[in-house]
Amino acid sequence: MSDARNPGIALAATFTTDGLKDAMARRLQETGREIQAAPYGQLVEPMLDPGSVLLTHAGVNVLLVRAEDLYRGASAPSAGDRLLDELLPVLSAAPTRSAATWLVALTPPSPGALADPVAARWIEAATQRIAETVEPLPGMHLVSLDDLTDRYDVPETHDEYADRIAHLPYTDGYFDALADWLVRLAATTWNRPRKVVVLDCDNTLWAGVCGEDGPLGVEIGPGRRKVQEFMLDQRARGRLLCLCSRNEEADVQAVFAENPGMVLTMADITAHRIGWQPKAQYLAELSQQLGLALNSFVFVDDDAVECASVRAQLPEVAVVELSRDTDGADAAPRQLARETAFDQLTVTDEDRLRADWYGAEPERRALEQSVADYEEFLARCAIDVTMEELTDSALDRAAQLTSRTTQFTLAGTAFTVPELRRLLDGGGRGWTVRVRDVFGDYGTVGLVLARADADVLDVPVFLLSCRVLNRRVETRMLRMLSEKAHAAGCRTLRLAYRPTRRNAPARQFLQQLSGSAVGAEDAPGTVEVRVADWIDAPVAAAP
Amino acid sequence: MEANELKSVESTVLEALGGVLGQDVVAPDVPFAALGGDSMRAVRVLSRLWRELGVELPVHALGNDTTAAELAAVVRAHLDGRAA
Repeated sequence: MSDARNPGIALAATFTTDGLKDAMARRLQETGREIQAAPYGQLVEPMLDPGSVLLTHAGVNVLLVRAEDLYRGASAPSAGDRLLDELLPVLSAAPTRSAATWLVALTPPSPGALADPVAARWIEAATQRIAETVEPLPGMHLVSLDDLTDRYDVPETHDEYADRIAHLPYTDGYFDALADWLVRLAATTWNRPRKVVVLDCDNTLWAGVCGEDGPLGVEIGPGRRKVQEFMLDQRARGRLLCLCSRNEEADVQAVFAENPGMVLTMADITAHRIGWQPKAQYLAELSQQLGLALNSFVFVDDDAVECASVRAQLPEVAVVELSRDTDGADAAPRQLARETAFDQLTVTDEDRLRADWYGAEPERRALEQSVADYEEFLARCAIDVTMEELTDSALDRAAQLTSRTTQFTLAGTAFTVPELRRLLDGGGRGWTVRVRDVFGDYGTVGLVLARADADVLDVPVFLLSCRVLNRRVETRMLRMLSEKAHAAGCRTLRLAYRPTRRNAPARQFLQQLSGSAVGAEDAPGTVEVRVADWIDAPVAAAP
Repeated sequence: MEANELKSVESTVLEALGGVLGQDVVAPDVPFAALGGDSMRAVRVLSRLWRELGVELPVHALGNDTTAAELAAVVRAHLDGRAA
């Protein structure tokens, strides 16, 4: 878990995010920050559960919503209204529940959904409702992904078949672009913002050398025009523009005054240094003149030697070695769009003050409110858990669960069908767990295997698919298992566990049971649970 | 099925694996995990086979222990079953 000093990113999405999470982790590696993901497919639960990855840190929370996922598996899109009605108030309350910065993105609908007029209409309406909910919230930012594929040259956005079999709707290429953009936005919340952009002139703002080609001889084609437009936009976003050029000042002034292709005017330039001294020296002078530290400077120049020299002498300055027109008219604008030094999330003063405002008192209140809301939500879900004796017809699904469940599995041992049959034939017992709620039937999502050893019930397998995590299904499983153990004359459950890097949800459950934390690197072991504690316990407030 | 079609299924499978795993040559008898495969990459391989051959294989058709040759045999069986 990221600590308060070095907060990272927590991710929740309506679809499978494994590939995206890995891509984001690679980009975060050098920052020493971590990324954690909420259980598959869950948005509402982790925003309510006070122990979830979203509510237990002060970094950046990323929520990804593909609207059609809200009705996935249902016969009609209108079935998604129910989940949407749960989601919107939870979104509204989220900023008061966490000191984290929230980024919310509506990810592209599948071509299949867009081709269906009913689905397309529902998606549009849902998208609009989510956007309208998020936009006014302090500390929550709606991230536009409209031009993402263009900016990152993503050839193919959707992976239709992966969506069908693994709920993995996007290609690796799209995930890569999305990961890069999200990490960049997150980084703007913990990096010092750059406030000053210092621009070279020849071959940066225009093609050619003004001292030789003259004010009308230098060229401002589409590429350089876009560079200038980009800089004008930077100015509109609150950054100061400066010039730093090896030239006679009069020659540079003449281009600004006379060349009709110029987008920037001298009025847009806050300060300038034009002459023959080293650029590092000019940058230091500009820093003094503006009263702004060099670590808030970006230096943009096409010349490799100038760039290297500034990098060497002023490592705190962000240096952008700009592509020339000879690399293609699009090269420089595309490069600028990818340059992290220009990244800026619209952070208001109110957002900055939130960390102070967010004292202990409101935090406790918010958490209490969150717990109450979560219980209510679970009650509304009307979760129905049933355990059925493992029979031959369910062995295939049971074996599959042991090999595919990696998060909520205590021991993580994979069983083949013949091994399962041997266990049952040898006096062992097994139960499959089925879960339903108002949103639908999740099917067989859990498995328990057990074998009585005198008055101890050994439990080598206790697992639950990540689809139903965070809904207290595991405690109900344990209660039901205790009833079975009691009926069989056992007084103790002995749960075998084997920690892995991926089974944090299971380790957390163990901690609840035993009171001591289990780390990912700890040795395998067992936890003993008194059957009497669980059959005498009052039944959960759930339906 | 003709011999050259059999070969083409085999090579399509090898190309799909190689493409997803970023390897030029894929040994037909090495398990998927040993080639660097995992469940996410398995989904990408199966998606590619669906696009190129139209076979609808479930996620577990390509497990950690599955070799390229075994996967090709499963693909072939699906294609044969469909033709029948």
